[in-house]
Amino acid sequence: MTATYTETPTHRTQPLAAESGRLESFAYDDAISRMFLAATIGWAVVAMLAGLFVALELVLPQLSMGFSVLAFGRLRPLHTNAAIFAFAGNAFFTAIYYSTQRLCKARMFSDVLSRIHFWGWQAIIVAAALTLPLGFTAGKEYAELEWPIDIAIALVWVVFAVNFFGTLVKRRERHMYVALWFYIATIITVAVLHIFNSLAVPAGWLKGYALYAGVQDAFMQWWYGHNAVAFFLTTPFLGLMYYFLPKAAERPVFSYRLSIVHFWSLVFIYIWAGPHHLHYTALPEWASTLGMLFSLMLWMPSWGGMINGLLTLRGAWHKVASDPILKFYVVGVTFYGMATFEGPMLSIKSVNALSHYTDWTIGHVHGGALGWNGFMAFGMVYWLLPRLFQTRLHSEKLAGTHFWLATAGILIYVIPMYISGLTQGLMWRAFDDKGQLMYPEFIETVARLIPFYWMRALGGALYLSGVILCGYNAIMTWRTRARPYAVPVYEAPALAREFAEPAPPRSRINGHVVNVAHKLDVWSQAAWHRRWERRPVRFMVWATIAVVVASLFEIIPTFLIKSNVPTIATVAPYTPLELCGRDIYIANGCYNCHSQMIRPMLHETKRYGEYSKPGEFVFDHPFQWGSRRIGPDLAREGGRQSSLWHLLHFEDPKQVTPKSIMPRYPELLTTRIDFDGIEAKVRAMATLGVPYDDVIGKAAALARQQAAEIGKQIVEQGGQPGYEDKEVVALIAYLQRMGTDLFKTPPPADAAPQAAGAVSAARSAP
Amino acid sequence: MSLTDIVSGMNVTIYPQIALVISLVTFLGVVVYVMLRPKREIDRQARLPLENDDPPRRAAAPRRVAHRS
Repeated sequence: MTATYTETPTHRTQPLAAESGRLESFAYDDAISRMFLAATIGWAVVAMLAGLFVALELVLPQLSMGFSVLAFGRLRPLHTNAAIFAFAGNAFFTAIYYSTQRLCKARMFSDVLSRIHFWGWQAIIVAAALTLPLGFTAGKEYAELEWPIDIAIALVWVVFAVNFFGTLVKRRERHMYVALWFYIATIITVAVLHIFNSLAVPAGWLKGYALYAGVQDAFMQWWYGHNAVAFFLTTPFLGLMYYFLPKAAERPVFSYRLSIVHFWSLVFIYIWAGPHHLHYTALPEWASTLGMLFSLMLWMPSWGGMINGLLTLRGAWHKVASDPILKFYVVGVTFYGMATFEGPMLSIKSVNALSHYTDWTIGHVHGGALGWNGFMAFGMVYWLLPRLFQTRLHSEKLAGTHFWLATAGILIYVIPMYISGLTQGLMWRAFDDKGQLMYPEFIETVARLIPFYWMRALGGALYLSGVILCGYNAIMTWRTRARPYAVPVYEAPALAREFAEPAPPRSRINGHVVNVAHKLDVWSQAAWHRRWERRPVRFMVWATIAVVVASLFEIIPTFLIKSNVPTIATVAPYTPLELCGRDIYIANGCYNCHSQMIRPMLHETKRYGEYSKPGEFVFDHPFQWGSRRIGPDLAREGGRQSSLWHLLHFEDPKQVTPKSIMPRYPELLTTRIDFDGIEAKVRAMATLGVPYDDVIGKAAALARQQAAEIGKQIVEQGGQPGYEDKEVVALIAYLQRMGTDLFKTPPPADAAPQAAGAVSAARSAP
Repeated sequence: MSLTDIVSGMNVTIYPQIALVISLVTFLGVVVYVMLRPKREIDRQARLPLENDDPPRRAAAPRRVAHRS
């Protein structure tokens, strides 16, 4: 494309005399876009390298070499965080910094804030990359980072928001293009989601306990997870699409009207869409149905958005064949359509019953992340490289190769995941003609998946190799950059401070009708909305309120109505040693492979035991229900195996389950328990309302006592002595406790004081 | 008496339903409004990303470029 500075004829719909203020000169800050662009590519390599490593660990568990730091449970959060917050995050920051300035005809509000945002965000990513493998984790998927990092994220986000809205306020283009609306929704909603989901009580510098427990924590987490997908991985990339796709196609978006509807549908419908948010509340049936209806309604704007993107290329299809950028966009937008079709489908209860906990979910999210986020990001990268570095792209051919490698990579990844998800889901629920589980041994269902796991690793490797090509291409392009960069100066009139309102519209109806008809006609001319749009800050505030109000109304009843979580008299808090063991469970990311939630279905109760009750989790800060069963569910693990079995299993799982793909944890057998540190944990839990009155002050002693008992048990069962002060014993204590409270004999009605305390605590849990 | 006791007594379940209906109605209002806008105005807005041209690949020297907004 040869860039020329021809003046674009503009179409004025109405005289805006008062708008032509003083002519002002300005230049864009492209250095910040270059920085974010480089970070995008760099973190893409890191994220996908980590992904490939954890994928290989599932087929070659010995890859962790017995180091906890390298085990799947520690590195999988690193992979997801790097892919979402480092790769996708930096990608849409690049898009926002590049497009916002141009759409607003203004430089960013503050170059200093831009730099603080950039370096702050990279520092957060580095902190995440260091803390997650070391086991400092909040134990909630996609919100694993511990509280000091969470605070840093909130601060950097505020800096970003101030910078962004400051730019909007001083913009020189009255109409805010729809991409900006998507950015606004992103910034506001992510802030709300992050703050509310991350609320925790610290129990040390890198340890905190979720403010909420059990069912409520789960609701909060998946309200966050559900909407984070919408507002971190969808809306900013839609903004990217609505700006960069017309740019690359050199024609305006197919239907601007549709893009506006697309935006509002996400703001008003998405928050309500997950019927799973409504099912468990005390909402009546019709509301639940309406939620489902919303879910299905979401198909229309999503597909409308996809079609809008694809039809933007009408008349330019011949270019798609030769231009790798457009190829990336076509496939990326198509994956958006596929993922948004699949999402609501997976929320249908009967589909979910089969797909949940299987690789289907993994296939779904990778279709979205690699196909939609990845391809939109790489399309943008190739479009920006020559423009930001003011040179030619080093190699169009390599970009084309990247496209084909990535496309093949996604397919080889996603299709085996669907097959493996269906395979395992069907194996779990298969009964033979005698009414027994066809595959009672969980490991049989895992062993069947190994070929698919190999294919998945191959697909991931292909995708990664494409990203590496992109990095090479970027570096070579950068080497031929313009030195120094040209900084074109633009001119545009400032927006007049005093905007003269056009005369209010008059009713177009002639003749005698009731007054209301005239009023309706005036309203339908929508001057009120145009007035709204001219006031960006007010417009933004109201849009925000829409999102926040919907969220709060959805959440508050879930949290504050006692009848949602019936209490169970026999459920008591964990002992200090079990609490310590639970933290070891969380630190090692066991929830990445093991769920703790038995669903009320015959094949589940047959396999794992009595289904899980909401009241069983009232002391679980945070909840550990998990979302994927690479290993079996553990909700009723207590008492299933001997303590010695667990010890041998942690030392090397293959000793007791030859086909196991779980990593070895020899470190657990040698690391000493930090008995003295347990007191702080107990106190933090007490702050959250867990009744530990009779434990505070003697947590360490109680823990030592229980550890000695388990050490003795191990010896009695034929094991070696000497484990009574090792971490494995704490973890075994936790595992042996899991799911057993339900079956304890309830205390007599006139109640032992301890049990009564537990009940009242369960009631008052926030 | 804790916060949960107070809120439990408030019968708040009606609010999500009201908010749900308001959301739905507002959204439908927006759809109607968007469809009613004049085509010329929409077309101009749709062209906004294309208005600002990007620096040429080999920019010799900074140039002053006028933009009529």
